[in-house]
Amino acid sequence: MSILSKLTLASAPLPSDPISLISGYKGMGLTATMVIIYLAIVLAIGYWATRRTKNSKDFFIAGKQIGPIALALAAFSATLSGWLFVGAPGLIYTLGTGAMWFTMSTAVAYTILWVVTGKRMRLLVEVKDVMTVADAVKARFENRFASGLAGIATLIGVVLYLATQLLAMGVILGYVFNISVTTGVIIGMVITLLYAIGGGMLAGIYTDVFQGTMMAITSIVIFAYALSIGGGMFNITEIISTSPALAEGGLGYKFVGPFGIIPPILAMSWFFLLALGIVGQPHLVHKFFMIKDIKKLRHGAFLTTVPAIISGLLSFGVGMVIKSKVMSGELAALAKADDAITVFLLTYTTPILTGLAFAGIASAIMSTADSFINIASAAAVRDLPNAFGKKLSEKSELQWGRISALVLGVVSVALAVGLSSEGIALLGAFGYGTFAAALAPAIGLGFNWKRATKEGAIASIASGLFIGIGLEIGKVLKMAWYTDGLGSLGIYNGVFALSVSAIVFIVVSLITKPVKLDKDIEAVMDV
Amino acid sequence: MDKNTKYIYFILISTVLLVFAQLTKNATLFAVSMSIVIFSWIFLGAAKNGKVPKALGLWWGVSFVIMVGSLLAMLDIVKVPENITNSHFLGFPLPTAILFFSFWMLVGLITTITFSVRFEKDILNKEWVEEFEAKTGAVLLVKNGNEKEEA
Repeated sequence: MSILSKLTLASAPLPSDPISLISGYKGMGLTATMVIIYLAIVLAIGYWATRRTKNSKDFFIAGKQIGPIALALAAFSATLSGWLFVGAPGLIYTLGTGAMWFTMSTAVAYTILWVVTGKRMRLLVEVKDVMTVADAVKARFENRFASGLAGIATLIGVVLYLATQLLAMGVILGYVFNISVTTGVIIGMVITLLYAIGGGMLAGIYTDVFQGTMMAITSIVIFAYALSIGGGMFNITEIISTSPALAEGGLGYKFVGPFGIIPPILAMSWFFLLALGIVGQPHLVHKFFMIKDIKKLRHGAFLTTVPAIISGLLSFGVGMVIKSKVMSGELAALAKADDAITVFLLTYTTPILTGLAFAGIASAIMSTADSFINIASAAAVRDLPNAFGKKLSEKSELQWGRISALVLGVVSVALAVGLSSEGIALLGAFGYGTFAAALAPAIGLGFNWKRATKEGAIASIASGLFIGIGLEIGKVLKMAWYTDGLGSLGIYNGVFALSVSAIVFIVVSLITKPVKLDKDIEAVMDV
Repeated sequence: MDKNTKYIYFILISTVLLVFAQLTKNATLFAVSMSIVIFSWIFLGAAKNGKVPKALGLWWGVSFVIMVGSLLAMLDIVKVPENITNSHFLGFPLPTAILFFSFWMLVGLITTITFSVRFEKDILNKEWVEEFEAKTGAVLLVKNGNEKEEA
């Protein structure tokens, strides 16, 4: 144990309750000013983009005019939601290094995304009228039902997942401006809607560039600061691993080990789902429709992976340092693990750094939220009408796209403020894993394997959607069929649903009659 | 038959093994089958007529070996919790350092840099794009907005 730790044991631990920390915090004015400046910049970008949004192509796929750096930063910031900054440090504080496996997926996730879908999606927009992932499914399998299912999966997943993002936004704004969470949710949504409705994807992409830059800068600064506060990585891990409170069963050693205190299979499952499931994320796949020059795909995977790795370090640094401070007796144990980032910022950093961090957190939340709003409105005005053989004019699509974005925003706010914590936990279940299980095989395998059939796609999307959602509902509501069945075997739902969906896609495709591909689709798959 | 089907069989078999590993709680089998699934998807995405260009195959093969090797090394070391902090690298306990620097950063850099470096030869060869343009009438190779680039 370090000298510093031994000394701090002698004095009373510092408080770790965010409410009392905020009430005694002297620099909140400066912090709030920084967050206001950030929000003003976001709105200014939104205003600029709104003036340039003339039609539905501008609104839904940014006029197909996006450059490589903008694409990479937008993909990175849209992937890493508010969870990375709020939930992940808390999870590391609770579970140790094992929680990093969520973030570690960036080792291969963007390579998979770029290799499996990148050029195919970009080539597809050259030959088909494609603006959404459901459009892509329709173009590949020439089947409205498969496309409609993809649209439904997108719409349900997005609206419900958006509510969890808004709730995180409400909590952060509540801390900064000393307002209620509900007011914070409404303010966050109004600002996001202002630029998302006006400037559509064009605003989404350029705010994402700004927000992604903010996230990367914040992460590296906070990580370095956390290491310095903790006395270096060796000191941090030494305090935790030798802590008497974690002595039983070698818990302290496990905590700083690669899998933390969770079973290795669970840690690897998180990695697998986030790495492979990226191919099924509609808010990421549709970004390939937007890139101006196909040759600029070249550096995208690298340019996205590097800031994603940097951002992953923040949650690790904060979670581990707070744990070491609690184990050394310097800080009182957290009542709620999710408070780790707030307690760290308010206790150990300066008001400017706290302002930068809160702006970074808001960036992570808003950049994911605006992408979700955009694809959900596209699902409402394109995918679902298309499933019934209807098509709106370009002008109507833009108009109804804006109206539906507003409606979706209001519905998400109502869900975020109206549901209990159990309800919110349930909403989270409809997020990443559901998209992964429902859409990854149809998109990822479907565009790289000519033998794939529409029956395989329909069976895979349907099974992924229903198994994914069903298992999560069973788990969250502790239903007997789940707890006594698959749940008792210790499976990780998302991985199980994705695996079954992929197996169903392949097997059903192999046993159904192959069809001759459209010549343009064949050309896309031949490159 | 689509020549990419061989990668599909790899994906099918390794995915079935992955489910089996979950149900039997076999971490080693999970680690190996997970890595095979992931790299089979990557190879499928890069394959043209069933063939993955040699340079891509080599470097992504190296990444696969690093991934599997790192996973097996970590699983082995954590069997005895006290061994985790026996040695350190840059302040991290050794198995955690393997996770950060080998499994995460090294694999991340090799796979993405390989993609960037080999892009024009093995991912989006100019001849392939010209074939695509000839088949579909699309114009992709543009210079200064609308002037077609010389082949």
